[in-house]
Amino acid sequence: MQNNYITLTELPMGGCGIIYRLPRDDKLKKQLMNLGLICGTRIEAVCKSPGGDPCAYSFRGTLMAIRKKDTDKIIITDYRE
Amino acid sequence: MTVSNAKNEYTVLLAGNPNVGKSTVFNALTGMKQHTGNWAGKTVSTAEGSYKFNSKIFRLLDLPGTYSLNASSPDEMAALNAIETVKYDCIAVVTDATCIERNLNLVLQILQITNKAVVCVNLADEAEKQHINIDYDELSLQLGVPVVATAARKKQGLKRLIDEIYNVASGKTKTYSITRKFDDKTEKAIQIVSEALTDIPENDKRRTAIHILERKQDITDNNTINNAIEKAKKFADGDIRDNIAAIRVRQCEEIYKICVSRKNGEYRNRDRKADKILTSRIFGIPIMLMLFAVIFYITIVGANYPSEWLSSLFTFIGEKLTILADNLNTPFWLKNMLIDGVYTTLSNVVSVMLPPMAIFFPLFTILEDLGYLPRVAFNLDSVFCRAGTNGKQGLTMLMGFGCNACGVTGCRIIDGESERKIAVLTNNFSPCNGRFPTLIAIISMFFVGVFPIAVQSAVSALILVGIILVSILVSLLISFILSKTILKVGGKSFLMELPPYRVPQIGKTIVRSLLDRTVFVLGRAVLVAVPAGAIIWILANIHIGSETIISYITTFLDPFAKIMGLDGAILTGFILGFPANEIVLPTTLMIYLSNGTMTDYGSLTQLHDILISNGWTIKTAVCTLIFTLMHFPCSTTCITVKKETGSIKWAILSFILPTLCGIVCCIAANILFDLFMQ
Repeated sequence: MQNNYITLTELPMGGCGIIYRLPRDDKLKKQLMNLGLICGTRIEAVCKSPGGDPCAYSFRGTLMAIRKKDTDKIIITDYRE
Repeated sequence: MTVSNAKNEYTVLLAGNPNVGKSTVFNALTGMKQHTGNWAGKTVSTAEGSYKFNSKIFRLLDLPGTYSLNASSPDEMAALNAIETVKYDCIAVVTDATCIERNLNLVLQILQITNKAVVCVNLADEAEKQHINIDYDELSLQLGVPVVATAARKKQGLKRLIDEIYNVASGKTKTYSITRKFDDKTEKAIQIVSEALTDIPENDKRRTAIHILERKQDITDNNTINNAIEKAKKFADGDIRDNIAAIRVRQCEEIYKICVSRKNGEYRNRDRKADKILTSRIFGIPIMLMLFAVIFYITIVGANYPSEWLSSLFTFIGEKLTILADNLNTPFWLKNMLIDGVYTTLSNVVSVMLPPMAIFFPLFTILEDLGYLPRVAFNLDSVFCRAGTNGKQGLTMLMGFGCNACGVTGCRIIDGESERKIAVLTNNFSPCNGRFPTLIAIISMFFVGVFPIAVQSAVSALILVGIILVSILVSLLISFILSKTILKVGGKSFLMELPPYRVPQIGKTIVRSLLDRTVFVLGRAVLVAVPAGAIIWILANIHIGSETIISYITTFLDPFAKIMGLDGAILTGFILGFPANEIVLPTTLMIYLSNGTMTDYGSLTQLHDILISNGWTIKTAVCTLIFTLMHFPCSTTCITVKKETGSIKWAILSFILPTLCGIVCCIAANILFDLFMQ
């Protein structure tokens, strides 16, 4: 378990972590929150698309495709690779 | 809301997250065939249906599937608007038992607004398979409203759902609004705002205050309330909206922990394994291409047989009609116009168009039900991202290969306004089923002759694939240009749910898809082909001086068509083929043979001879291919574009854009041929 902070993009596939900070961008933050993604939510990187972007992340029983551009703005902590 | 037993009609809203089987519930309750799919955001406009229970009529309004009521997308806006303005007696919130925690968010938001609600936990059978145990009674206690477990696809639990909706709507079952505490600072803010709400009943104050703080901060025009909001903002640290949203997610988590226990079954793992392969770097794209190749192959080859049957059936009926008309002493011109004009066009369109549609769309729907299509969008997103749009456009393009009008309607699944318009405008670059026969005929007549007979069909398939790839590239290029100019997209975020794989109900899908499309196509054929047939017949048979009207048109267009590497007859064929692309080639033949009725070519060799004797060369063939690929959409598609975008402006643009591309490319091809081939 690592206690420092990385962006969600840096989380390798198969790894999981805890959301520490959501993007500042208001609309994206709202969308993510409505899907149940808030600070403290556990998120797992599941798989990459063939082009490498977007990636699929699993949280609260849902699998969601998110682009790198957006995962760059999400900070996670307590991650495990 | 008053409760009266005299009430005979109840209004029920159907809300829920995307992709939870809401439309299936809607269909099961109303018996109305609204198309359903394993896809986020299917119901864009509100659908309406009704059913009868206990001799009362229940009007059911299907709201768009949304994750929240925050009005941050057109769907959410529509759902919130419906909840605020429609006088309903009950809201039925449909949720997905397999990911109920996320679904609870919307449930809590709705319960914040009203407690006249029933929660329908759908896909309960799926949850059971995945060893997810839900304590429905406890959930009902926690939420204060009835909770019903259903498996709408198997018609399980619907009886109880109907019962509970009736009970809540009629007031027989008392529902409770459960007060959920927020953190102290937010509570204080809520209190300040609710004190300012003087003209609202005491019981509703708290919920209205939360509603205002969460969604209406900027839109109230009441000064007292505005002041209260300002005051409230000072109490809370950070954004009150964010705090409320975040705390609600925690509330969902708590309820979930109390009511749901899950043993980690293998089912999720099965999905995961499937995704590892279907979206992998190595296999993802090849598997996808193979699947599409198979679908196209089945469609094109499989359609030949029913097409022939239909064609001979129509010929048979046509002969009988002629005899009937003769016996009735119908005037000669009327008989000819109705049979040679209207009937021939109608039968031509139906026999060419119907079979491929009836094969393509059920196959497409099966992939959709399976949950594979979102993976396709996932696989394709990086490509489309570079063109300024997103992966969902790939799916609408694919639907366009079936029928451009259906593809344009399918663009509803795309969230962003600009992205959606781009997809609508470029859809026509995918050659539809109505254009495939022309493409295939030209390819096999002009391009494979030099190859040995054994490999000819393989070569023509390869050329067809090449043409499809070209059409995709053009589509991407035009999308790119549009996204950088008139429809600026600017690197928007893209979130898309990849729903669990589900076993498609193949039988039902085929029957439903077949019925839906058959009715659609027949309707369209009648509406469009009948007047078109009459007009074409008139043009081809009324003489002014020594020539028919159509030959004047042909002669008039000829110089311009020559610049494009075509000839007047072909261009006239395209123009008269505006109602339906299927009749382009038959109309052209009619002009060549000047026999006044649309001609169905007997064999390709025969057709080849006719074309050659009318001056066709390899250049004409190439230019006709290009123009088939890129010209104005058929009339149905134009009307659909207007309907979907709500403005004639976009319909006109969707007409001009591909036509212009086609003309430019044809002229370029013509010049290149003249430079290098002679």
